[in-house]
Parts: sequence; C-alpha cells; structure tokens
Amino acid sequence: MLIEAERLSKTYTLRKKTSRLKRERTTVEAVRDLNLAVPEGELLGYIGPNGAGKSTSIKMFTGILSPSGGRLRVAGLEPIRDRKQLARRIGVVFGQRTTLWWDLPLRDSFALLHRMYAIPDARFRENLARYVDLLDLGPLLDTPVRQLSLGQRMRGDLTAALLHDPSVLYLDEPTIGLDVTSKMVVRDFLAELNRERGTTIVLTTHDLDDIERLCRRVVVIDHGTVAYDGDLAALRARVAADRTLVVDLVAPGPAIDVPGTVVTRLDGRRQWLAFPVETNAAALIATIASRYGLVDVSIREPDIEDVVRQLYCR
Amino acid sequence: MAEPAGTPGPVTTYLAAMRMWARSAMQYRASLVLLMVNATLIAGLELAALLVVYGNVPSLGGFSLSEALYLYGTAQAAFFASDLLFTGTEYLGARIRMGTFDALLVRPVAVLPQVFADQFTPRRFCPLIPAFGAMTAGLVTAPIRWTWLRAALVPYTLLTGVAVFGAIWIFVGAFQIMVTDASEAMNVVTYGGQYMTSYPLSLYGRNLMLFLTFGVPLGFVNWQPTLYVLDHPDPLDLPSVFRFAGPLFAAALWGLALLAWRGALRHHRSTGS
Repeated sequence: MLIEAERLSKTYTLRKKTSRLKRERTTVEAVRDLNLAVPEGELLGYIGPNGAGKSTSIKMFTGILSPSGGRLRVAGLEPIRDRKQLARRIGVVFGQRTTLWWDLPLRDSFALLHRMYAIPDARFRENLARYVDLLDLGPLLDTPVRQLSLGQRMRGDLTAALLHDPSVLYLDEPTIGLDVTSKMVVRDFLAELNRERGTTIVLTTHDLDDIERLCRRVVVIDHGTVAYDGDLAALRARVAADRTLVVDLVAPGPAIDVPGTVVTRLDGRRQWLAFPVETNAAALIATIASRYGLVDVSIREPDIEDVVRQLYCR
Repeated sequence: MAEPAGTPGPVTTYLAAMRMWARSAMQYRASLVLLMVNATLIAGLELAALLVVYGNVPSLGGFSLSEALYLYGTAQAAFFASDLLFTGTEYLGARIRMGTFDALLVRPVAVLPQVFADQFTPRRFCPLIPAFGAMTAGLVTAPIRWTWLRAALVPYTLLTGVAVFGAIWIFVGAFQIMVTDASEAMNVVTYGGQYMTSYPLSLYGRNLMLFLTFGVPLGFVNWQPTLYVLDHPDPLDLPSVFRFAGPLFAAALWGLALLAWRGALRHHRSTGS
C-alpha cells in the first residue's frame, strides 16, 4: 500500500473572541476516523464538497499537517517525521497556486528543482525531454512564467512536480479554469503517466469530466470521513442525480407542469426543471415548447457537487 | 533511508534560492536601479541628519563626531547585513496567508534557508554603502590607539551584530507563523532597535541603558566592543568581560531562536495557519 490511513483524524482548536475579554474555545473535527488504503498504481478521484476535509487530509498525506490521531503511512514513511524523505517520493501540484518562479524562464525553475532534489543529471535530462515532449513545452522553456497562459503554466507545474520521479502525485484542481483543449492535454497526460510509469495519482477536482475520464476509483469525503469508496458507475447508480433544464419563457407565469419533472427554482421568466438522467431531453423540450411560449433552453449535467449533495440528502 | 548524494545542505539551499530571487529582481532592471538609488539615498539622508546634529554640538554623551560615526556605521552595517541575509522571514506571514508556504514544506530541503532567501533583492546591498562609509570615516578620523586586539574587534563587532540580528530575524519568522499578520508589530523590535543602537547609549538614561544591555540583546551589537575600541569608560561600570561576551550571547540567542522556530513549525503543522 502506498497510502495507508487508519482512523486518521485532525482536530482544530479555534479561539473565537466572543466579547472584549472572553474567548471561546471551540474544536472542529476537520477529519475524523478516516480509513483509506491506496495501492501502488491507482488513479484515485478524491472528491467532496468544500470544507469536507479533502485538503486537510491531503495536507496530512504530504507532510504539511500533523495528524491529531490515528495512523498514517505514505510510501512506508511517517509524513511529518520523515518529511524530507517523503518529499522525494511525492509530487504536489497546488492547482491555481504555481510553485514556479514567476519572473524567470520555465527552464530556470526546472534547473532549481534539479539541484534541490539532487536528481542525477542523466535522469533529469531524460525526464525533462520526456515531459517537454509529452506536454509540448519546447517553445515555452525560455518564456518567463508570468507570460504563460493558465494552461501552459499548469503543464509547467506538472513537469516540475514529476522531474524527480515521484511514486505518488497529488493534484488539486489541475483543470480548473483551463480551456477544453488544455483540459484534454492534461487528462491524456495523467492517464498516460499512470499507465506507462505506474505513478499513483490522487486527484482532487470538482470537474466530473476529470473523474469520468480518468478515475477507476472514487473516494468521496464528507464531514471529514470517507462517505463512499468505490467505482464511479456504482456511485452514479446509487445517486442517480437529476439533470436540470433551464427554460426562458416569453412571459413570467406559474411553474411549468410537465410529468416527470419538478420545478426547482423560478425567477421571473426563467424556470429550472429537474429531470432524471434517463429521460429523453429532446422529447421533454418538445413537450414544453408545444404548451408554453419558449424563448431559450439549456441543459445542465449533474456535476460532482450535485452527485455528492444527493448522496447526503438521502 | 539515507539521503542520496548531492542532497543540498542548508547553505546550498539558501544560495540556490537566493540566486533565483536575485535573478527575478534583475528581470526589471530599470525599476531595480531606481529602487537601489532610492535606498542608498534614504540611508544616506539618515547619516546626513547625524552630521547636522554634530554641526551644532561638539559632542553627545561624551562621543565626538568621529566616534559617533563609527558607532552609527557599525550598527547600521551589522543591521543591514543581517537584513540582506535573513530578512526573508518577514514575508512568511504573507506566504502563509496566500497558502504558498506549503510549497516550501514539500521540498526535500530544510525550510528555514528557503525562508531566509525569500524575496531576496540586490537592493538590500544599498544601505550598506553609507553604513560602511560612516564606519570607515569614523575609524580614520577618531583618535584610536590601535592595537591588534582593537583592530580585531572591528570585524568582531560586525559579525556579532549580524549574528544577533540574524537570531532576531528567526524570532520574527517564528512570531509570524504564530500570529500570521503580525508583520507590523515586529517592526517595532527590529527597525526600532536598529535606530536605538545607532546613537550613543548614554543618551537614553541609565534605566534604558540597563534594559538595552541586558533586556534587549541589541546592546551587544556594538556598544560594549565599541567602548573598548574607542577607549571609552563604560558609564555603567560593567566588568570588562562583557565586551567580549558577544559571541556567547549570539550563540545562546541562536539556540533559543531555533527552538522558537521549531516550536512555531510544530504549531503550524497542528493548525495549518
């Protein structure tokens, strides 16, 4: 097992000022009794609503935060005690917060990592060539990072996190804000990395597409503990989240009454209708159009938030 | 598991990070030049103020202009050399608030050297120019009866000063972790202290002098050894051994500072803020 957490917990003590003299102590259980075993070579989707304990647990896995209780081993090491050794075994991509040197060419950041991780020269050259080729970074190596687009910078961050051949790569929202092409490049790259090199990947995301295209296994964290651990299809079947049809009518009116749908929100001429995934959307739109004055429609697929929310509404 | 060969030690880590920051600053050459001129002028202006004061009185607290220049120069040089080397700890609060401190914690090298080098810029060399200028002018013009010991005490004063101020920068870092946005509160200790040691201690009265010599480490920065170099009697009549206690004091302060730093990191790990 690469990551082994047993009854892992993290409690924060907050001191809140309630009046000028009084301070109230409250304890918050950010993570409680979290059990997780990730074998080598896994590509894991690590999801959950904001504030559920995802980033707190990732910070414990990476040796940034110390656990308050339970047992944790990553690559056979104890993250806080063996911080430096662990750092050589893991790669971390912090999503929107780049770790590259903002004002210097991409190449310079890689050179610094070469030294800091004491990567043997031959291996560094080989890895750099490999990732530059896979992520198409060649023309960008001499560009200052501040001039790179978000997608280009993400590709740079991915390379930076992988130059020392980590066994496990943690990614926090790697596709957020990227255009469709960049998202595809990143996803294809991660899939190949996992397949070819056997790098274990722990992916935190709110993008259901990332999970659908990449992850064989999904772990849902809620209220600081594992709420679901299994494959995506089973999660979907269990929740069967609704799709949402957003319709704009000619004039404001009462809630649309069509069998098989429920109006979840009504705002002037605009109405939101929830309908099951298996319903034929085209037929549904036709039915509404024949009975109401329709101006515009759009369909929203259930995102991971909806799926997770539904998991808890039941 | 042993660390692989070539793993950078603290000094290598520090130099590598410092080089990256310096090169970052040099990307904006015109701006850097302007800022450097500006920093030199501001430090020079303070020196000019000292000269204006001495234009009106022949001596202050028993110190002539030459002696005051030496005193001022060594204090400034020690402080700004420590500023040059260690002041990265000041940016720790901002880093923690922006969440970029985590990036330093997942690298296989020591954390403190990375923090020391944070936001390094060649601009920090500038205030050293007037400082060393004043010190040299003081040394040349003051009636010093040179001995080997006195000559050795000049670099000794500077090094002890840099070491003591360096320890204070570590405390600043530890403090920043504990109270993330306390950057301003700590300025009272560092920049305020730098201002006080720049003037003859006897200006401030006996109680304050005692406080500065014992309560606050800054007295060691230049007061005691300078008294010896300038052959001045100590207004406090402390045993002369205090003039040479600086390194012991600096070492003890570093020990305490590193303990505080470790404690602060432990705190950070348990709270995440």
